Amino acid sequence: MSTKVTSLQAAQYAFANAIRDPGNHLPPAGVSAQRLAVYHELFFNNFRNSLESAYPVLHDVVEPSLWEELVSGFFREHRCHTPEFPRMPREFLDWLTLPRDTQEQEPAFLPQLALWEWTELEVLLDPAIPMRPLRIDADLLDSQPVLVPSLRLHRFDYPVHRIAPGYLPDAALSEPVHLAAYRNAQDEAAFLELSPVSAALLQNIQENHDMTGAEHIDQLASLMGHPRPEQLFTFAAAFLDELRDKGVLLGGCTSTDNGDRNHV
Amino acid sequence: MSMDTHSRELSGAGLGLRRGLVAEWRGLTKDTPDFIEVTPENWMDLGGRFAKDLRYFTDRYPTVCHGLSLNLGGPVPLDAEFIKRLGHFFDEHGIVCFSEHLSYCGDNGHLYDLIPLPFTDEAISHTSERIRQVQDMLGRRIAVENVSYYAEPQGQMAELEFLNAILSEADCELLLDVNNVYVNSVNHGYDPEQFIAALPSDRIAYLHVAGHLREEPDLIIDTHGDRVIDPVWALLAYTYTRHGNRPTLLERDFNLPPLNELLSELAIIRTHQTAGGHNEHKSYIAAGSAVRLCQCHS
Ligand SMILES: [Fe+2]
Repeated sequence: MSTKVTSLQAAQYAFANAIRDPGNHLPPAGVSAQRLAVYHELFFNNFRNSLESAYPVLHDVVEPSLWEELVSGFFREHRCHTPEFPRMPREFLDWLTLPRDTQEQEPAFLPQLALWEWTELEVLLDPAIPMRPLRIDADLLDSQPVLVPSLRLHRFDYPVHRIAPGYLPDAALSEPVHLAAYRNAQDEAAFLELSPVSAALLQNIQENHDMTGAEHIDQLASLMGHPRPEQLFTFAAAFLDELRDKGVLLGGCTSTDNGDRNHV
Repeated sequence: MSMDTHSRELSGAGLGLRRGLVAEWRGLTKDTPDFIEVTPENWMDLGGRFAKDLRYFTDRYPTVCHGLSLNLGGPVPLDAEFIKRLGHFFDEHGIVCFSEHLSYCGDNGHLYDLIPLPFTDEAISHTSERIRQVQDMLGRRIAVENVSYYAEPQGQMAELEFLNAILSEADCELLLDVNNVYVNSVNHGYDPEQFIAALPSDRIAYLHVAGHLREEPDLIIDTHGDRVIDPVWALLAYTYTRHGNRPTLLERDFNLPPLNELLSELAIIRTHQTAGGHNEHKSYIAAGSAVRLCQCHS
């Protein structure tokens, strides 16, 4: 492909740059500063509204001037690649991984809170459907537990699920918090705070589809070097049933019908 | 790609599907819109409630798609992967017609809004070529929409000349937004009736009508956030007289009122359509009131 920039392309980049950053770029010929401002405002507000509805807590807890700088920095510097506007706010997370001017004044929990807020939204959008045949009432110890595909597991250094204008932790937790988000049977976003053991069990189920519930628990017990494996077993078996009631587990799959469709 | 899903007919008054309307609209049993319009970028590849709502409506209404992110006039190569996904979406939901904006929506990143092209020969050949590429990739003709613009980057011709040149060079259809013609006629000082009269009837796929915001005497912003104003209704009536009874979609994106208010605006559309139908300019329409849209090349 030719890399030569046509005069049309040059004019288009000039217009887009001026819309992104009218303070530092002149509008193209024919476009007045006044009308450029109209474009800047329309486009920027569209980004701002979308980010504010995706990150309502973040928007609430940071200083308005900081929020303004974050949104305009993102609008100015980031190049969005998703054509789907509802997924645009996810790219804010990518931008937050890069160095930026405001970092000094930002609360340390900011990127983790943003990730959690996006996760709450993402589970509502997730199009994935279970790829394996499953029985809702299967024995979860004898069958391979099938997780709801929207399940997301995260570990945070800050209690991001409790952050609010009246609760702004400035130090990391001594032990990280494990959180799960998923879309339940009523198509609502639902959340769980997990103990480290429960989180390890769920993660194991998510990563190893060909193991039965009993095998997952055994493996966990030996990994932990648990002194009383039978105690863990009782606890974990009840936990699996509870997960099914909550819609985190959809049911069980028996190895005979596992086939080669297991490409989740 | 299967072509049979494109053959449904479109007529009457349609309404844009918006998340905020879904709950009330789902229970609607009478005075229903004749067709719906969906922005694919807002609904594609979603699960859960969004997927169920979308399926509910596309199962019940003839559906057109109105895209936002194709970047038809843009400076970067077309996104082939995205176009493939669009085609898949159209097949899944039996989309009757696909339209996009005659503009660009970003540089090397999406800006999710419409930037006006300069009215130049270079922009005509660049954009026409890309429209043709999209039509080839999708295996169907598409419609392009005249957009509202608040500034006119330096060019060589008027909007009308630019638009007509694209329609002929790209061999595509036109989504004629009557409100945008009105908005631009105020913002850029031209005669909206003359503009509409000079468009090729046989290229018009369907019409848009919408409300807008009068910001200053010489600046109207195309917000889709209010009722359609009387001069735009008059221009719509004129359009039917000039080009015949055309399927017409009401766009409403912000300040969503109770559904009833939108349905009463659809009733106004239908009244004008019936009145316009008495005009002789309607003669090119095949017997019956419906127009077959966006037929494929093959
Ligand atoms: Fe429109």
